[in-house]
Order: sequence, then C-alpha cells, then structure tokens
Amino acid sequence: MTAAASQSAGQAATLRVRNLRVDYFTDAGRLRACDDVSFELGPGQRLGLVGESGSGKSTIALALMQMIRPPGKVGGQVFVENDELTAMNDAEIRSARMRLIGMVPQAAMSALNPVIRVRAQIADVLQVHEPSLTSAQVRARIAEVLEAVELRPEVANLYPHELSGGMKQRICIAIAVALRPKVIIADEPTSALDVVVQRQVMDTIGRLQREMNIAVILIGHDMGLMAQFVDHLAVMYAGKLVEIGPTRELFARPTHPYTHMLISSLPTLGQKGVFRGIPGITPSLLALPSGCYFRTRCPHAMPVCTERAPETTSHGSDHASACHLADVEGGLAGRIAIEAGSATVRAGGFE
Amino acid sequence: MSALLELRNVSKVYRSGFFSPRTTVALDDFSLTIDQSRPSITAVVGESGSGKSTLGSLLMGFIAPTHGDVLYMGKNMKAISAAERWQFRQDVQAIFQDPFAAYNPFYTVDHVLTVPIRKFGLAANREEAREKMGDALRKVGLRPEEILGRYPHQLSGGQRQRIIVARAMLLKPKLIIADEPVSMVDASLRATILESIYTLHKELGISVLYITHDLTTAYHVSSEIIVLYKGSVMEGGDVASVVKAPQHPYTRLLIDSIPWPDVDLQWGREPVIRDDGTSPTTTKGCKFASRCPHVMAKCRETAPPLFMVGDTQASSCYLSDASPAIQRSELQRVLEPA
Repeated sequence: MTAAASQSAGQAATLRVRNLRVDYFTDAGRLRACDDVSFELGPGQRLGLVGESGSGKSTIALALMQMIRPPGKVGGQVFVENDELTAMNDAEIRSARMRLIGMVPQAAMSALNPVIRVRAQIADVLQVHEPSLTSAQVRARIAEVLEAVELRPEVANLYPHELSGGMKQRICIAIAVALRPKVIIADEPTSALDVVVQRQVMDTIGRLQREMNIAVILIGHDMGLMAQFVDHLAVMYAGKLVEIGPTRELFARPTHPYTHMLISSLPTLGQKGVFRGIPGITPSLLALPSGCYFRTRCPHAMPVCTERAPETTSHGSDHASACHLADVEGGLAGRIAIEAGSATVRAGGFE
Repeated sequence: MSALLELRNVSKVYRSGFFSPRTTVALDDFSLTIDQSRPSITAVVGESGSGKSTLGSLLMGFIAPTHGDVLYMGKNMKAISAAERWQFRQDVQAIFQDPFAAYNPFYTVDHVLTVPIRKFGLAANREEAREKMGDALRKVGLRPEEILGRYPHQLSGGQRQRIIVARAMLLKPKLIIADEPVSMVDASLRATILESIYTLHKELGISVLYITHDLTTAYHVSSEIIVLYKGSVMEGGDVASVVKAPQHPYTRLLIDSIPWPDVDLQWGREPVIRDDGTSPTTTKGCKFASRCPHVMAKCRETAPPLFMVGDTQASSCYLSDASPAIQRSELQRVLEPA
C-alpha cells in the first residue's frame, strides 16, 4: 500500500518505507510478519501504528531500526531523508541507529540495565556516537537531556530500581532524543503506566517532538491515545496495512471494517454497559485464511473476500484502505447504514 | 442485610528498612461492606500505589490488617474455623492481572478447571466434570472444543483470561475480586472479557469488586465506585454521579487524563502537578494536598472527612464542606442508599 502521509507542501519525506517485508523462517514454515508495507512520514509528523497483539506492529519497529535477527529476513527499502538504512553495512547501521532513528522501547523497566546508574546509560549512547566529547561535555549533555524530559539532574546518580515507572520511561525518552534523531519510534511507551502518568509522558514526547521537529511513530492498541496524540493513523492486521490516513478522517469515515470495529470497541461516556468487542481472534500467521485476512472476523464479509485479497483503494489524497467494500456502492458507511436499518425493521417485526 | 465480607476501619501499614525504618500506609482507615443479598459491582479506582491491590489482598485473606477487622459472615477472619475458611475459599474467587502468570506452562489449560472441581468435589464423575467445564467455558463465550486439551502458550491472552473467569464461575462464588483483569489484554479484547464478568454478575447474582486504574471500563461495568489515593478514599458513590460530576480534584484529574477516542475532545485541560515524591503516606493532612491545584492551609493540617455531596456521592475534600460530613466508616451510606 502506498499512501503518503506527507504530501503537503512538497517537502521531502523524513522517513520513507517502501514495500517493507519481514519473513521469519521457522520449522513450521515461512511466516510473514510484515507484508508489503509502504508509507511516508514528513518532518515533525506523528503517525500512529495500531493493531492487536501479533499484527506486526512491533516487527515494523524492529525492521525500521534494522534489528531483525535471523531467522528473520527483511525485504524492501527504508530511507531516512536520503540515507537508505536497508543498504547500509553493519558499521554504518550502528552509527545510524539512535543518530537518525531513535527508539523508546515498550518495557522501560527491562530496557534499562538494573546494575548501572542512569548517568552511565545515557553517557553510553553519547560516547559511542560522539567519541570526541570530553567528560565535562558528556556531563553537561546528560543534564541537558534530563532537563528536556523534566527530570532533575540528580536523577543521573540513581539506579533504575530507585525510579518510578514514569521516570524510567522518561529516561528511555532521554536516551532516544540524546542525539536529536530525525525519527523516533515509540513502541507502546505508556502501556504499563496509569492514566495521569501516561498523559504526562505523552506531553513530554509531544513537546520534544515539536521543539526538535522529530517525526514520531507511536505504536499501540489504544485508539483513545491515538485520537489524542497522532495526526495520521495506520491500521495493521495480520502483518498487512489495512488502512492509512489522517486521524480525524479515519475516525469520522473509516473505510475498513476493522478500523471501524477498533474505534467502536472503545468505551466512551455514552451508553453505559454496552460492550462491543471484536469477536474472534487474530489468525495465526502460519495458517492465514485465503483472500482477505480479516474475512473470518468481518461482519461484512462477501463471497469475493474468500476468493482474492483486496487491492488498495485511495479515498482522497492521503487516505487509503484495502477492502472489497470499496467496490460496493456506498462502501463501508453504506453497508453499516443498511444493516442498522434492517436491524430496526427486524426488531419492529417481532414486536 | 447480611454482610458476606466486611472491612471495619481497616489499615495496612508496611514498614521497611532496618536502621532507618520507613513507614508506608497502604490502606488508611477503610471500611466497606459486601452484601450478599444485594449483588453489586463495585469499582475501586486509583493509580499505582493507591492501595487498591492491598485492598484486594485483604479481602482475599492473603494478608492480615495492621489495624481494624476483616469479617467473613460476621466472624473475624482471624478466628474462623478451618471449615469456614474452606467455605470462604469457595465463596470468594479471584481474577488477577496477568493471564500469562496464572498458568503452569507444563499443564494443559484443563488443569486450572479440574483442580477446583476435584478439591471442592463439584462433580461425581469424569463426565460430569467435563460437562461442568464445558458449561463454564461456554458461559464466558469460549468453545470448549477449541480450548480443552490445549497448552497455555497456544491460546491468546484474551482466551486465557476468560478461562480464569470461567474457573471463578465454576465454584459458584458469592464474590469475585478482579484485580486489573483487562490491563494486560488488547484494547479490542477488553470489551469481551468485561462483558463476560458483567454477565456473571447479572445472571448468577455474583458480586464483583473490580480493581482498576481505568475509569472508563469502571464506568461501564460497575454500579458503585470508590476512588483511592495513597490508601485513602477520595471520593465514592454511584458510578454515574462520580464520573459525570466529579467533586474531588483528584477524580477530576483522573477523568481529565483519559484519552477519549474522540478527536474533538481536548485531552488534559487541567494542568497536572507532578508528585515530587516528598509527601509521605503518613501525613496528618489530605494525602492529595501536594498535587492539588486548590490546596488550602487547612488541607495540610487535618485530613478532610467525607462530605455527602448527594445521596449517592461523597467527596473527601474541603471544597465540598458545605455538605454534611460523615465518618469514614460510613462510606457504605452512599454506596447503597436506602
């Protein structure tokens, strides 16, 4: 799918991903965790990558960082501005990681080394990438990045176990922005935190993103957080990108049933006690259904969905999705309206 | 009314360190009654360190209170007989946060269902046991033929958590204590698990204590809510009143921080004062004072009592001092109005 999240003002994209594929070769067969994913991200843009566990969102993060290890294999191209990460050798990619593309890992608790002080963990990334720095300069830079993530400079002397969950996540953010990368990938940075701390951590990421004009990819499964934080949204299902577009547009007019169900599965302050989960489970990547991968859980599945995989259809300049409903008059919205109508008729008939 | 479980002015204090002991008050003068004649779903909401899991452990009899009493069927838990404790173990069931850690990876998932059946003698023979397991699984929306005989790693987190719900149901308990049952499950699957808990309550009349940090799901499943902060009740009452018209600054902060799935709703209008970690849980004043935007001098001196801001809502904040004050032990009055 090639939907460009950045076509505004004709500026060069910060991150370009073209036909990214990740295959794992296991004893049970080939497993495609990321299937032909393409997107672009402009400077200072925020893209959300959503999907259930096992949909391939963390695989994309690892593939962008060129951190997929055998038996995994990456295909396709990843560019950060004009540097092609996928064409670099080991030494080059080591220097590119954290300098061009930084990462805030999912579990801050296990990302930090428990027996080393915070100072040394931040110094590590600085000294590896900028060996010419004097120790006084390193100390100044550490204080600077800690201030950027709203922590007191004394925190550098602490061990990870002395920090709260929110503080640990802030340290990880400090490490990710220490070299002022062009792109940051935040892989569920707040899934272990409670709402108030989550909001504070996201505020910090948002402020740094604006100040340093970093492009951010936020990975997660909380559509509420996405609605509040990102300007573009990409929805993954079983390794495929099923819909991509501006957040506002996706929430107002989703064109893929999965996006629609993800949005409506969230509780709001509206009707109390109404639960709308997505029935069924994600198919195993080793035993994918024929045609469209979502058809086994899709309430709108048609005969054609079993026969072939849907093509990507564009719905406007930067909104695209892969669903056969695009060929049906009225699309998904029309289908939902018809089904809501017939449900009312049925209910009326019984009474 | 007959109380199944009752907490009377319960406090739990942890002390750590040998040379310079530090005292943490995990739960402070807390009273709650779980009535068996009127099944309810009560949500206990708070951030990490609010004492909500301590409350769960006290109710399950895992820990003993430092002050106050825990009563089961009117008898002090410290003094109940072995037979009564056995009955207690059947009446009160737990669902924990982590659907991965609840299983022994060497056994098939049948194990978590067969053990309680055997221990409590729920089935006369193998066929009956199998039938009961099948029924329990179907009740939580699972197909037994897809579940039984599998190993935990072959199932998704959502499926595993629903099996735990099925087990809790199998024993026909009077109370289920669900400690963060959905926080480790995908957002899209949360609804299905909460729905099965809600169905158990509706159809079998089981009371549920739903411990969570997520106000949105609390609003949807529960009838009453208690908001805890550093071991003290900040606000409590009918869930719709508390969530739609929060009176306590802490409840307002919690609600304001929820990222709503609505692009037109502005996230976080109220500024957050960060906890600098300096205010101890042993303070005499209001525990929220160091983070409160409306803090007054008296807040730091004496903790506010509960003010009944309505028939079904009480807030522990001097901002509501125009309303009549009640004892902390009278929280029950707003949870189940006469």
